[in-house]
Amino acid sequence: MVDVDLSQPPFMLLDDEGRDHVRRGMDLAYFEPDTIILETGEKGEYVFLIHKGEVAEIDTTLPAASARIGHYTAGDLFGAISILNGKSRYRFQAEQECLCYLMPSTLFTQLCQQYPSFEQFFRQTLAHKARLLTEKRAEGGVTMAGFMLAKVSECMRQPLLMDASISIAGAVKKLNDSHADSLLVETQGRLGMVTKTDLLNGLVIEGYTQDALIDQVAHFTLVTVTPEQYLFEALVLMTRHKVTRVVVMEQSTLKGVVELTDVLSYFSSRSYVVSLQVEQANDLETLASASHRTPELVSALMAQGVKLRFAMDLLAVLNGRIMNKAWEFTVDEQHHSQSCLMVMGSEGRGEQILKTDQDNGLILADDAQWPDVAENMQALTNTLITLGYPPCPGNIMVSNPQWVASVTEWKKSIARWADVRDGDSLMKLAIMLDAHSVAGNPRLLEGVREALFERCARDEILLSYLARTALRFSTPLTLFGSLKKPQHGIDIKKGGIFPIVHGVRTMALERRIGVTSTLGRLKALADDGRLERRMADDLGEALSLLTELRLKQQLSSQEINDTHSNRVIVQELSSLERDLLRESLHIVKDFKQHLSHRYHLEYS
Amino acid sequence: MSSMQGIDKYAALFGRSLRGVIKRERDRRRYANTPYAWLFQPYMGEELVALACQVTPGETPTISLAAVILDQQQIHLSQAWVATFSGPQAACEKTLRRHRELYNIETTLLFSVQTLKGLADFIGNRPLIGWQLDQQLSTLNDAFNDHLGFGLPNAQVDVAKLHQRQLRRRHPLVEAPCQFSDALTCWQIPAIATRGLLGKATASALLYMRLQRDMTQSG
Repeated sequence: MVDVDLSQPPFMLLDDEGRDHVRRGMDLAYFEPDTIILETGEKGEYVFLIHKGEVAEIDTTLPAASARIGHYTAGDLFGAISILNGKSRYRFQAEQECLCYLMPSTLFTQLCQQYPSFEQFFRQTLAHKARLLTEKRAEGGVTMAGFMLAKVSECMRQPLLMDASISIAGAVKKLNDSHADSLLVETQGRLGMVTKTDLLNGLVIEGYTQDALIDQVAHFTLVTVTPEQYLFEALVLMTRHKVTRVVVMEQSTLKGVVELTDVLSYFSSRSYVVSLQVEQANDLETLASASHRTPELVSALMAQGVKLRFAMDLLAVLNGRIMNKAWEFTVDEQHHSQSCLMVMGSEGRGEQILKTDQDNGLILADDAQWPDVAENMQALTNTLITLGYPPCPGNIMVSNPQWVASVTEWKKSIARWADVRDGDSLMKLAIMLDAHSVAGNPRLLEGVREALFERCARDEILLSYLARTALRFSTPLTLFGSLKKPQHGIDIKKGGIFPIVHGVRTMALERRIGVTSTLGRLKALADDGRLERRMADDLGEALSLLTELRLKQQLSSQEINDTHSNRVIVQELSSLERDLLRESLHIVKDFKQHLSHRYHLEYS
Repeated sequence: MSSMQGIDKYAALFGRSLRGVIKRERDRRRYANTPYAWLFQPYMGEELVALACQVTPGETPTISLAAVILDQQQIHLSQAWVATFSGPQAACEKTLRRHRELYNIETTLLFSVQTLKGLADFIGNRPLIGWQLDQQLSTLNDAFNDHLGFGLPNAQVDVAKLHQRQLRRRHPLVEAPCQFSDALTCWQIPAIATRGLLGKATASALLYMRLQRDMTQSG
């Protein structure tokens, strides 16, 4: 018999007899560190109650870094869900010396039958856990932490201030006009709050007429905060005083009102809010405000340590949606099926983090009837500028008639570029290779891409011309393999990112791979057998690291002009980062050698 | 007799006195054709029995006893054997109550062939472990001898000796504490939520497991 403390849930759901059963039925087990207590897929025979030590719950299907999905310490219970499910979904492993009380499965199932609320507890935790896990996956690990630091000033509304001499009827009218929930009245230097509930109570319960003065129903004891206070403090105040709005005052001047609904919507995960805003936007203005919040979202995600890959995916989706909306606002619906808006360059690859220049083009169906296409496209470009996408300095935009053409014309230009093979044509080909449709009819782009592959994939000379560009910039490594350390920093875009992106792009063209993201192409190339799996993985990691370094640089120097943002000053990096950077550049160097071997660039 | 003692001392290196070995062999032959024969067979399994005993001496002594089976990993607390043995006299009532309260024991049994056989069946031929086992078992062995004609024949591991030996091995110059509670703190055995004699038996089982691990680690 064991005298365990059974006053905690779930055991508090049992009566004395049930608890006595538990006490009499428990055994004790000792596990050495790293012992696997319960293996994935193993049949659960016991419910474990930890007396001492720590146990990790491990999902063996995940990579090692994220495999540890749960952690149990003294007093925690595990293994119950394995019994209910029949087998364990995850692996439980002792992290330290562990002493656990064991409840045999027969006893556990017997208790579940006798006490439905006891069973309900575990069913609930099962559902709860499943929900937590899906949330974790959906959000890519977004947490509340960053939003706890939001200030009141970021979330307050303009106050609706009224004179005390106004009547109740007038006040209701004004409230309706301004879509507000509450108003403030000022009388004899004091501020009072009137909510809709107050008005109702005043009219119905107190029996005031509609002409009665508003200050008779007002409350003059206000809960106030300053704009500099944290938002969660306001939330705490609301909870404590059981009110749903607080007044923001700064040195006895009225600044605004914070409502409970505002706070709650602010606290709900912000990536969700931004995407929701984009979806709900019905006019350009709301879309623009949502669009301008994306850089903020990026910083928040990065600050929380979200993997760059996931942040990029999220941003690519958001940007796609924003452009799609802008397209819907500016282009008449009858043209949607006859045309295809494509984004190119980094946007096409889904690798832009901050808003970069708009690189886009339009493909028209051969039989499209669209006389005022030029004006429409000019409008679209302008719209995108207002949404925060700066114009492209190379003028690769739909406002430029060169980048608006029918399918046949596009095919012709591609053939011409492939024949000419000068610097400009090669660049256009490369840009075209990254094209990705964001709005309109995506079939049109597929047709053009097919023609591009048909023309270029087997053209060895063209491929080697294309590949040579990847070798244009030298890798910033010294003869002895250490990092070069010039005063002004090394350009990681030219030295690291570009060779990977362009080399992979060329190989993808050769293998006719339709995916546009570099990581996706690497995976496809590895599946295809063109690249060794290890090399593909290394290149992906190197690219992620370089992009991350570049993003850090860009976030810290957002105002400084573009040339500096690609430069990383080696001396400022930590030794670990320096080591990683050196390794990545070595990978880039190896890849360049691979390219020059494959495309015979040794003597060119 | 002195030569016998000398041989005893030599034989003690093997964990058992020569006299004990001879006695055991004699008993095994003697009980070969009785229901108790299996108790004298050497044990081949992996389980052990941790014992804790508390004795109030007297004309017929009162013995409280907790026995729990353990294997490599588990201590089968749910199947523990806990009871107080007493003589038939009513005068023992006070002692019995004290035993019940102090050692948290619910079952009271009379010394008889039947009850002792029940205990022997529970223990079987598994090895016994316990803190200062010789002292704890002496009265129980007398009772066994009185009623069944033999003392507990099981192999015995004294955790106290194991503790002393292992501590001396690790820290040759340190005087080993010989209190049970000191030994528990010394080897960082967590307190177990079990009171009374069963708690003591469990603690000695845990201490045994801990020492076993320490011995395999230190080679």
